[in-house]
Amino acid sequence: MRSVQTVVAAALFIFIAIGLTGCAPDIYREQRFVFGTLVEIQIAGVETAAARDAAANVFADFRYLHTALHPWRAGSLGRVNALLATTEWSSVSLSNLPLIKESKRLYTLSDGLFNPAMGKLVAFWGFHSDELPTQPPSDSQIDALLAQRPTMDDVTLDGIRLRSSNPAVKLDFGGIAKGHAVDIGISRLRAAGIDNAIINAGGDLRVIGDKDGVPWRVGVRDPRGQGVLAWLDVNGEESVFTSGDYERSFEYEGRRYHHILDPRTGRPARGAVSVTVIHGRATEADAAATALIVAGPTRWHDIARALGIRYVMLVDANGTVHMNPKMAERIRFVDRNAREVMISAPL
Amino acid sequence: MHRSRLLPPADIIVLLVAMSILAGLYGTMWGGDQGADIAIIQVANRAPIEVPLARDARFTVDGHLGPATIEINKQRIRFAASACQQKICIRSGWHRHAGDSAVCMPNRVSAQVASTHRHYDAVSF
Amino acid sequence: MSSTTLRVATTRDDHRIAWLAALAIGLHVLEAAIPSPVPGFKPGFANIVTVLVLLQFNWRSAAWVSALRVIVGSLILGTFLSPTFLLSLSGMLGSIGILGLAQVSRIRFGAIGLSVLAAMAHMGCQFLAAYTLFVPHQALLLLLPVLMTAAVVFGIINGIMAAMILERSRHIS
Repeated sequence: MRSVQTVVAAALFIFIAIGLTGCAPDIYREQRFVFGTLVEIQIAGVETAAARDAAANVFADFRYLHTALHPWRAGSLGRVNALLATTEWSSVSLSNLPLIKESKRLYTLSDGLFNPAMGKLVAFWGFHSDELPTQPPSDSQIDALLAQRPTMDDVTLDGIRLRSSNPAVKLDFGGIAKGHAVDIGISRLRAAGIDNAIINAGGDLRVIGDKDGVPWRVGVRDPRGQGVLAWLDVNGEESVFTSGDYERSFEYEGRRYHHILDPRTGRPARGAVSVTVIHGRATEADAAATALIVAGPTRWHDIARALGIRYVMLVDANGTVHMNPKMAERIRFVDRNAREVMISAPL
Repeated sequence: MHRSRLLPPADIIVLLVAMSILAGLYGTMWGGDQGADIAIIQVANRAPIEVPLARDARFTVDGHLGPATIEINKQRIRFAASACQQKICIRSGWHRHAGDSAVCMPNRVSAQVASTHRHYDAVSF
Repeated sequence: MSSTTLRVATTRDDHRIAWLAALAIGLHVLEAAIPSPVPGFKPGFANIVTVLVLLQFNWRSAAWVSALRVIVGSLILGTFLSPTFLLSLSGMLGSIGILGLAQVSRIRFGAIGLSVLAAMAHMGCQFLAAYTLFVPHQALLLLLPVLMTAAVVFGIINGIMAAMILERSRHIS
């Protein structure tokens, strides 16, 4: 009896040991202030050292892109803008080419509501620096620029050569840069053999894989500051991008001015306080979220359809939530009551 | 059947302890307000600090530009002081809901309200 | 060399324990046939046997019966070395561990007290194993109060049945 007991006890210990070594590694999380925002990277299913290295590479990419994509600092975009202003042909660096091409396409599809050629307008308002502006630019400044009508159509690409026919054109990729950086970050992680991760750049995120079979769960912040408005489980490869009027704004003489400018009026978009978009690639998701908050409750449906976006949730200035049916199926509101929801026609 | 044999005093204590354990479990796991019970403070690019919201506290951290003071009171958190110029972080006021955050970008300090139960892996905003 | 037949002298107690172990295994297998609304939610009627063996014999025999039940039960069910097996194993280790502590403490627990203690330890360890090894998702924690309530409820039921069986067996023998 005794020896059998010992054997059983030994066997039990062995099984426990085997079971414990099968432990899945924890999720690696790191946050850094980079790219003008707080970027969080989560990596699942990979040893800590490998995750830390991969994350470090992605953060380094973000740091590089912050300068490269800055519209006037001494990075590649700054140089491009200087050359565009001359309206002469010039060569564009390969790193800027994809974004310029993509922006032209998205400008057309969004009926001009996404217009990164209006960098001068953004500069007038001053939203780029860490410190926010304190007062709006003068009406005459804005109107003068609107009269010049800089658009992505003024920019012509020929191979790697670039030219603008309009000296008022200045490229500012603020409405698409985060998406672009996130896409690059995800490819970087993929290249390092990581298949399950989240890159969250100040509330704009893209997800790949899952956590050991459990989908990543993403919450959407309430635009009026009451915690999380709604949540959803992401399917494998998706980006969740939100544009909001609460992210960067300032008050002047009783009015609040936020950083998402309507290219038609030259002033902050009114009508919608936040838009959340679910889409595959982050670059398109970013541009779409920007265009749709400008489109507002009246035009979001057409623009979303034109851009090929399949999940949209828009909160208007009255607090009403507008969504398409597919989004309504996926999203779960945290607090069921007291919220008017309008479900649109299918996208 | 003798009473004591069916339920001796030790068993009664076991049952009482079991009941209180159950009550405790329901209380903590099913806690309200989406269980917003901690704040994650990120200072520059150092390791984040998790602080419970249950205890009132006031502490200062060294941000990129200078000191920032964070205050916790009645399960809410806010920036009480920061070395930035515009004090946007301070003006954003108190935060209590899971998913909310106050960020001082120039000083590189952020305070995010979260739940130890991590209902969400990430919040889009 | 002449062959020798090895004969192990078995006592009547050994027979009883073997019989009870078989009963425990049988109950365990039968219970597997009952669908459960929540994985991990099993009344654990085989635990009645564990408590009975503990009270009628000793802890070592109860540990033996418990281990046999988990291992042989899983062999019969075809879940040996599977995740289910690891969960059962961790639960068993927890419950038998706490019963051992109860014995060592020399506090006079009754069948119900022991059964509740064992059931809670079983559920606790099983949950811990499931949470760390398989589903580290926070939503699992929301299930814990419900699972533990079930454990306590069935612990009480099993304890009452064990007590009743003990009463009857005292009258008989």
